[in-house]
Parts: sequence; structure tokens; C-alpha cells
Amino acid sequence: MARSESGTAGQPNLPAGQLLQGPPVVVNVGLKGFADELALQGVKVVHVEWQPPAGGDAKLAALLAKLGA
Amino acid sequence: MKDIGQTIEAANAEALRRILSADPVLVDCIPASEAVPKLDAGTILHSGPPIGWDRMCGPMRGAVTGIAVFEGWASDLDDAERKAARGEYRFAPNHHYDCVGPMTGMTTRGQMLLVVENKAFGNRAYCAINEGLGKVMRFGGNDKEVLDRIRWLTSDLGPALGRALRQMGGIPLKALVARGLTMGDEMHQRNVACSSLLMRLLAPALATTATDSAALARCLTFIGANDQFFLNVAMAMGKAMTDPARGIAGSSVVTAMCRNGTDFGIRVSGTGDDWFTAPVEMPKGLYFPGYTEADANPDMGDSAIVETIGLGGFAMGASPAVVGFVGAGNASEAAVFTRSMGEICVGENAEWTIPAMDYKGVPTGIDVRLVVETGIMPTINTGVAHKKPGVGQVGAGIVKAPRGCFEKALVRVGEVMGV
Repeated sequence: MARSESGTAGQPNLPAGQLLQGPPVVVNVGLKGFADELALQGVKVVHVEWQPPAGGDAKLAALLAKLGA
Repeated sequence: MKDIGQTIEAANAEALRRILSADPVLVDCIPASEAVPKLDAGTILHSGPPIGWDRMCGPMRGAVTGIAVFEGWASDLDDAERKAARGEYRFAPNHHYDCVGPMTGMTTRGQMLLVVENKAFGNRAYCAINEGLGKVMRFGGNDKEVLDRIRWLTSDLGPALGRALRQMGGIPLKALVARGLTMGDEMHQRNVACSSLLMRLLAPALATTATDSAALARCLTFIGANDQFFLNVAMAMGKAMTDPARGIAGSSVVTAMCRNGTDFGIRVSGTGDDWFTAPVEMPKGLYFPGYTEADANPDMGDSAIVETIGLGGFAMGASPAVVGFVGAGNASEAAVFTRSMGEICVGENAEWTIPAMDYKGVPTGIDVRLVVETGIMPTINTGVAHKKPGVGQVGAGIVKAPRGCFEKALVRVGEVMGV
């Protein structure tokens, strides 16, 4: 996920062509390796620790849904 | 009609209410035979979920043989080992007898036990007196020095503590712990503030009830030299606070976490007395000079009861100093642990707050649903025992509760709720 620095956060109709005209600010979700690689290249990156519910175990995720989690 | 999610939320709110409305008071120190009359000769209580001699780890076996000699049930350690292997001793978890014990957690009828009464609910919980640091039975030590210390705790310090506490009418613990949090304790691997506060309260009563100044001096010296003296008080407090939250239909809140050096076990409010177990993990931390992880025994002790009530690893934000002690990173990361534990708890304790986190309350009431959903495992601060019997403590670190316990518990909660 990225936006151009000249773009306005929350502006829904930003033309795709303008997206990477400036240096990107990246929010990386999930696999930290991508964030680490970007950071090594000097790209501003914010990492969000995230994993699928129940680590991706579909059976447990379904049970969690039934139990109101 | 409420749906299942609402039923669980309401039950969890009640579990949290009971934990938070507890009023734990250290009221006495009495013989185990008096505290737990059903604890008979030949029965040895241990930390963690149920386990037999055949699956016990090295330090647990070392402690069993030591306590058998202490009780006079064996002539020496070799005799005790033979008798244990022949099944002459009965083993049971502390938790089955209203008790808790750190590390190996040996509790037998000849010891003196600290008594914490939850005045709000009328229940009591018990823990033996902390033996101090170094080569001690809770870390598997069992030689003459270790046994002589336990004999002195039984003959001198325990009765002295009992006399002092009875004269004082007990020591309320909630406010004391609140103050300890503001002084940098998390009540698991750092207890220096609460031990000092307790000593300050106890000393006058110990003095006025003493009959021998040399014996008094030895008691005060022992307590004053042990930064972890309060740990065992905090553990009995944790047990006294969580027991009233057991047995709430529909609740997915954890009421006990403990380890026996082989298995990690949890209990959940809405699933009765069932244990949900998985293999214990190896703590990550720092080792004393001359020792490495290769010497270490996996995770052990009932002391994770303090994390169950929001202290220890859950209150790391109050204790930047402990982050370095357990080798968990930079002091500035202390708050990260507490925030992370907040992700898996149903609430906070408004009476136990962390000044450095804008007086945020410690996260309380672990919900097995949230643990499984997020994959965030409870963080536990812990001491590390040598894997061989008789050696003792070799380091300190942090350890994660294993995922398997929580997945099994979640499945059982689902069965109980009929889904």
C-alpha cells in the first residue's frame, strides 16, 4: 500500500498516475521481510504486525467466529 | 435471547469483575498440615499440571528426592529416588490443594505455608516461604545446605511470620502491589520494592513478638537479603484472586497458567477443572557466568499465576529494569510487552496502574479466544533452572506460553457452548 507524498491521505480518487511521482511512504502489513528490505533501501516504511485469525487455521477461525471473537 | 458471543462476553465480564474485586490479605503463616488437612504423609505437591515420576524433568526429580528426605520419608536422596520410582509417593498439582509453588513447587505437610485470604470472597490460598537465591529446592537443589534452610524456615522463620502477621491482623496486599508497580516491580522477576515494603511492615511486629534477639536478627537478615521474598506472597495472592473466577458458565477467561518443567497447563473458567496442556518451551534470556542455554531446563513453576492476574510479563511496562535482567531487549521496549498483552485480555486493573504508561492499568483476564485469534501468546518472566537435579538456578528470561494449550481450550469452550 502506498501513496505519493504530494497526494492527500484519505483522498479516494487520486489518479493512479500520480501515485508514485514522489517518494513513496509504505505501510507493510504481515510479512516483515518486505519492510526490512525497503528500509535497507532507504524507503520510509511502517510495519504492521498482522496475521490471519488463528494463524490461518480455517477450522479454528470458523470456531472463533461462532464463539463471537 | 442472547447469542453465544454475548453469553461469553457477559461471563467474561463476570470473571473479570471477580478478579478485580478481590481483596487479598496476607493473614498468617501456618503448618501445611493445618492449612491443607487432606495433604497426607507421602503426598508431594508439585508445580504445573498433573505429572508422574516417569515424565518429571531433572530439577523436579531433584526436588522430590530432597523434600522426601526433609519429611523423613527416605533415609537419603538415593533411597528417595528408589521409592519415587517404585511409586511410594503420591504426586498431585499444588493447584488441586489450594496451593501454588515457584519453579519445582514442592509442598508437603511438614512445611510452613504463607496464607493469603481473599476477604471479598472468603477463600484462602497457600504458598511456601521463598528460600532465597542460588542453590535452593525450587530450582532443584537438594543437598544438606538446602534441606537445613528449609528446616530453619519451618522451625524459626515460618512461626515468627505467623506470630507477627496474627498480631498485625494481616497485611492488605492490593495497595502494597499498587505501590510496588510505581517503584519498578512487576512481581515476578523483580520484587525488590514489594519485598522492602513488606519488610518495613513486618519488622516491628516481628520484633515485638520475638523472644530471642539473635533469632529475630536472623529472620530480618534473611528477609532483607532476598529481593524475591515477596514472590511467594504474590503467587498465593494470585491464586486467591483467581479461584473465585473459576466455574463461570460460558467464560473463556484463563484462571490458571502453570508449568511442571515438562508440560505447560492452563485452566479456563467455563470448562471446570480440566487442564489443557502442551509441551513447555525453553526460556530466552541471560545466563549466569559459566552457564548457557545448553544447561537450562525448560519452563517450570506455578509462578505464572502472577501473569494470570496481570503482573509479571503483563506488567513489564512498570519495570524497565527487569527487561534487561531477563534479556528481553531495551528498557524502552518494556511498554511494548504490556500493550501486546492488552491485546489478549478482556480488561485492565484500574487499581494496579503503570505511571510510565500514563497510569494505564495492567491488562487482566486472558481470553483464550483472543489468544488463538491474534496468535499473541502470554509472555511470562521466569527464572531458569539447571536441567540436572541438585544444581539450582542458572539464569532468568522470558518465555511464551505454548499455543497448543489455548487451541485445546478453545475447542473445549466450543464443545461446552454446543458449537
